[in-house]
Formats: sequence, C-alpha cells, structure tokens
Amino acid sequence: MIRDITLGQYFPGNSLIHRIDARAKIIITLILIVAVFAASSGIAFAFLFLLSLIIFILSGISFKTLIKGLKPIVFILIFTTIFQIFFTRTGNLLFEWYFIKIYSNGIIFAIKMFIRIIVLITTTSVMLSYTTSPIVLTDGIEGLMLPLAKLGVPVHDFALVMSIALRFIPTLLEETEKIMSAQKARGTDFSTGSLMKRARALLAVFVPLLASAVRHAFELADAMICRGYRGGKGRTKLNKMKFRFSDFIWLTLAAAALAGVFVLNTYTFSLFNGTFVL
Amino acid sequence: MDNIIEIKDLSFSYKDSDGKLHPALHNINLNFERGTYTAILGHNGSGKSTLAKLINMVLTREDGDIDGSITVCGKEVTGDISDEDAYDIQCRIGMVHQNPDNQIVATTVEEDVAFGPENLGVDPVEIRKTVTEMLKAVGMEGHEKSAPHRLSGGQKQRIAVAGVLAMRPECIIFDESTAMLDPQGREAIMKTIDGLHKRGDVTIITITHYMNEATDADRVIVLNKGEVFMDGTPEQIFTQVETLHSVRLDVPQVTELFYKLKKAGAYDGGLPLHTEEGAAALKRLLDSKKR
Repeated sequence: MIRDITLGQYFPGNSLIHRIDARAKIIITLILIVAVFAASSGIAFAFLFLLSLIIFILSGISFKTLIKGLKPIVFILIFTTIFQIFFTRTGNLLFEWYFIKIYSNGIIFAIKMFIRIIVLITTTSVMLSYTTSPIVLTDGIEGLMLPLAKLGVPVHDFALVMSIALRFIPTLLEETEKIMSAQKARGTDFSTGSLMKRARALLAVFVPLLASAVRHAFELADAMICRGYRGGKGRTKLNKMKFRFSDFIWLTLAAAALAGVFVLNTYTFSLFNGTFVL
Repeated sequence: MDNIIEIKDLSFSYKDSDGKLHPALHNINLNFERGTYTAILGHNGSGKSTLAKLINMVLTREDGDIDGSITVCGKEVTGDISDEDAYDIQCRIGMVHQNPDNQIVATTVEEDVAFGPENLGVDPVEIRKTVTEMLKAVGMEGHEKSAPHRLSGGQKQRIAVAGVLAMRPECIIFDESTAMLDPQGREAIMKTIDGLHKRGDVTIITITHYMNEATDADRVIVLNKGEVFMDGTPEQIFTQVETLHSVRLDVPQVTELFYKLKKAGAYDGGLPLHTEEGAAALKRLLDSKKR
C-alpha cells in the first residue's frame, strides 16, 4: 500500500552515526566531498575508501541496503570506468590491438574514478539519507542557514515549506491513488496506447490533484492561523537540536581526514618497475 | 452570567468577486455561556459554518458585509480590532476543522501537538509537559513519534484536537469535525468532546448535521436558512419531531422510532434521546404487552 512508503530512505536506528547532530553531519559530508575531489595519489584514495568503509560499518546499515542504493549508478560507474581505460593516452602502453590502445594511466584513472564515485555515494547516503530523518535534516539545514536570517533571508519560511512538503507527500500520494482509481472507473486507460495518449490520460489525474492540493493549502493555512502561527518570530521548538561535545570530535575528525588527504597526496610510489605510478 | 461569546443582531452576506452579495446569516442573537456545551444543527447552507468562521475571525469584513456584532471574551471581533487583539482572540478560541489531513502541520505527532505552543513561544520544557498531557486527554498517548499519515482518520482528528487543546483555549469550536470519519472515529471524537466537557474548563461548540451527536450537549441550536430556528435543551428540541422534519432535519434514530410508535398508538411516554434509554423503554413496553 502507498501508505507504507518511507519518506526518503531513512532507516531508524541508534548507531554512532545516527546520533551525530544533523548540522554536524551536513558539514562532515561537505568536508568529505571536498576530500574525495581533492584526492590524487593512490594512497589517498585507499585512505578514503577505508574511511567510507568505517563510516558504513559504524552506521549499522546492512550491506544489502548499500548495494541497493548503488544500483542506480551502476551504469555511470561502468561507463566512466570503460571511458577512462580506453581513452586515456598517457603513461606506458600496455596493450595494443588494431585501434585499441590501453595505457597504464588509463587503468589507474579508471580505478581512481571508480573509488571516487563509490566513496562519494556511500558517504553521502550513509551520512545523510540513511541515518537522518528528513525532518531532522530539514532542521539541520535551517540551523546551518540561520546566520543568513540576519541578512533578511527567510530561512524559517524555507524550512517550514520543506517540512510541510514532506508532510504532504504521503497525503498527496494517497490522493493520486484515489483519483487514478476514480478515473479508471470512468474508463481512463493509463497503461496502453502511445506515449502521447498515456500522457494525456495522466492529465486527468494531475488537474484534480492540483485542485485538491490548492484546497489542502488554503485549509491548512486557516488551521495554522487558528493555532497561532505568525511566522518564525518568537517561536520556540519542542525538540531543540543539541550540538554535543561528540559532534565537535566528529567534525574535527572530518577536518583531520581532509588534511590527511592533502598530506597523502604528496606520497606516490611505483609498481612493476615504474610501469604504474600511483 | 458570564458569556464567552455574545452575538447581537448579526447579519452576514458573502461578497463574491463581482461584488454581488449572498446572504448567509440573518439577524442572529445568541449568547454562549462559559463552560457550556452547545450543539449547532442545520442543513448545508444553513449558515452554521459561516457563524463559526465569523466568531474565529476566519471571515472578516473583507469577505462580506457584516451587520450587528460578535463579542468574544469581551472584545468586539466584528468591528475595528487591532492585530494584537485579533491574534489574542484566535489563540483563545480553538477550532477543529472537518478534514484532519488539512490540520496536521508537522511530520510527527508530538511536533504537531507542539505546533501551537511553539508559535506562542512557550518554553520547550513546558511544551513537552503540555504535549504529554494533551495526548493523554485525547487517548493518544504512546503515539508521540508516529507519522500522522500512518494513523486512521479518527486518530488523526484526535491529534488535531490535542493540537488545539495544547493552545489552552477557553472555547473550542468543532466545525463538522466528525463528517469525514468512520463510525469508530466518530465515536472516539464524541468521547473526547464528552471528556473535555466533564473537565468543565472549556466552552464547547459543535457544529454538525448528525443528530446523535447533539444529544449530549447542554443546549441545541437549530439554524435554518441563516436564522435561528430553534434554541433549547436537547429534550426540548428533539421531541418536536414534526417541526424538525419541516426543515428537513432528522431526529436521533431512537427518538424517531418512539415517535412512530406513539403515532401508531403503541406508546405514550416521553421520547427518549439516547439508545440506552430507548432500549430500556422498549423492554418495559414489550414486558407490559406480554402480560
């Protein structure tokens, strides 16, 4: 049933990673993304790979879930790897057959690109989507953008819009299901015919859905006013985010990892008598 | 007598986009005493929701022509009222709407109940206490972390009631709050309302077209075509079966049954309003026939 859908891909839990403050998580993720793109030497990549493995293990997310999350990018992964292998023209020539030439750097770049993508997807999904509920994530974004409020950016309003959107996803999905059933009962055919025909059939769903969304919005606005809403000014929060000492440690560790990558980038070594330079 | 709401010579017409007027209420005079439980009955278009919206200032002079006055908590809300006063009144008069989905703002139950007090700037520790207390008052304790979309309609509506209660209003208006619920959900809401009434610190106004829901009220007001048609205790109102039928309103099923028995000459006593009462009367009737 459509009611059972999970918002985002959050897996509730109480692991070390789950317990990090959402604001800290966002910053850590950003730091790690920078680190992934900054890495150049083989040893730096090995270090990042190990790091993402540790984060993954600490999160308590199952390996199956992780693989499932990686599935949509398999194509990109294979494509970029092959592209690197066949089209890199630097380093030592290893193999030649008609027009196909494979160079040592092609292999190295391919492996590095592979690790780069895997680490990128793993850390961001484990850090953010798998271990942080969308509500907390919204709060985290609001918390981080709070300084901008002083410049007149309506941070609170953005956050509220985001959380209301999240709140209404299941409601609107349920409604879509109902409207589709109602239209099917009236003879609308959603599954056969040309693309054009099917798109037109969907119009019969979108128009009533839009009308109902607008009605939801007006009634919700009334209900919010009735409950004393008048913007973010003077509002308190039931669940205040706490930035704990452990969050500082995590942030420090992330910063150290970034520094580590820059240091490790200076170390290169060669394999097979200089055939491969990592 | 301490009236929380006083309505004097009130008439209201909606103004549509062409400036044309559509009369909705005509010459209403009503007072609502503090701590009482009133049910307002009426057909679609009788003006009952319009009345509620005027009391809570969802409808203002911008939406139509207002004649006469409504005074809430000593302040006239139909006249010139400062934003601060209007806000104050809206916080003191809570309102539970028809569709539970359109009243729930947050993604977890506890955050939704907390929404009102958060807006009022209440201290988080105090909010936590309020949330616990109000969820208990509506019988939804233990659902703090639940996602609203996983609850049933009746449960969602009880969360909405808890959310309104958390504002600690002096009066709550239930505007057809049971109309979209299944029988169980409806019963749960009615029980909640009854519980609130027994606590006695809040004035309750329910707007409904289910007759069964009006029998527990202290007072029943029947609106018809924008006018007060009847006003009295449930006993006074529902025993006038013919008068109600004349404005296409029903009486509770059990009352209807005894009315028909009486008309057929099989019964001559007062008309019961509650099912239990009716069952007992029916048993007495059958026992007497046996002998």
